Parts: sequence; C-alpha cells; structure tokens
Amino acid sequence: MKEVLAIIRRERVDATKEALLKAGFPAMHLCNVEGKGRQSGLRYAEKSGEGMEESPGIRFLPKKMLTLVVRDKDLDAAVDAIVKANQTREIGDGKIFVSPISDSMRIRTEEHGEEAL
Amino acid sequence: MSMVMLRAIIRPEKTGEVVESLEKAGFPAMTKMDVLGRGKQRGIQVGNTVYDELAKTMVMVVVEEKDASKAMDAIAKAAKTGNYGDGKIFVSPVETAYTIRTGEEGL
Repeated sequence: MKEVLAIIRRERVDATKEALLKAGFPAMHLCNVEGKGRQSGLRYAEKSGEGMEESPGIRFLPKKMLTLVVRDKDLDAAVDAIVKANQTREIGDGKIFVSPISDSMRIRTEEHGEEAL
Repeated sequence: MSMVMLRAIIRPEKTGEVVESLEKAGFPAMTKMDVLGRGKQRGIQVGNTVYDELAKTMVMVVVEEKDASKAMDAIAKAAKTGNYGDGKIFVSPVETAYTIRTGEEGL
C-alpha cells in the first residue's frame, strides 16, 4: 500500500474530489494547512511613494492537504487524477508525495492490510 | 534519490524561529498546520485543572535523505528551550515526489 499526500490549491478541491471519484478513489482525508514552496511564498511589487517597490510579500499561503491510501497497482492512476485536476501550469500548483504504508486496519470489522482499503 | 519527510511537532510560539532557521539552512519549502497533542507527561496539570490537549504546530518538510540530519538540526536548534513540551521530530520515508505544475518527478 502507498500513501499519496498532495498539497493542492484550495479552490481545486472540488475538481480533485470529482476526478478521484471518477478514477475510483472515493475515500480521502482533507485538511487545511499553510505552506510555502521553493519560491518562499508570494512576492510582488507594490506601489509606493516613488514608484514600484518590492513588498515583503506573503510567506505562508493557505493550501489544502489531501491524503489517501491506495493499493500499489492503483498508485499511478491516483497520482494522474490529482495532477490532471490540479495542473494550471502556474507556480503554486503544489506537490505530491508518495510513501509506503506498512499496514492498515478497518476499525469496524478489524480487517487488516489491503482488505481494509 | 530517496527522500524523507520530517514532521516536527513544536511550540506554536517557536514557529517563526524554526521557519527562519530552516530557510537559512537551505530548506525554503515547508507546510505547517495547527494541531493539538500531548506527550509522555500526559499534558500539564495546573492546580486542579488538567490540560491534556495542548496547542502545537506541526511543520512538515520533505528533504533528500542526505540532508535529513541537517534539517533536523536546524529545527531542533530553533525549537529547543530545554523544558518539557519542546516537541518531537518524526522521520518517515518518501518514495516519490511530483511537482503538479510540470507533472515531473523530483523535489
């Protein structure tokens, strides 16, 4: 099993949920986070007395964190669905991290492993 | 290239210092969230009141494996006060990272 952790734009959450549902991943966990990437947040020029001036910018931007656990063979489909739904080709589209999950358990039925997904 | 994710649970008031320390060490990218938690001391007791859900901030950084100890040092140096409640850092493996903008692999 693999965990797919994606940091995405907040306004893209609905599109992402729909895309994942269509690809066969109805289950996920969403969370509000703040983050910044390699560009260290948002920087822009601001009008001041003598003209345009670099403003200190906004360091942390509000993002949504989406986590889902999938079977190994479904990994590419899940990553594809998230990338397609979130790609605007502008800086700030976010990142996807894939990590291994050693076990899982459905608490209601006490099933373990991939059966629990 | 193998990567690791550092999840640091730190004091909320130390967040600014930790962020700056990470930036200085060359890790500008991170995600933070507000969380509630308690540690081995089971929270804190003041008089008759027990606080067992203490406000903390979780900072998430994904770095290359060889940079892990450098990033951990940067976090620890800024977050340490020497008292109970300074927090913990957890390290877990990350197999792949994708940049959504380009769809390419890599940090």
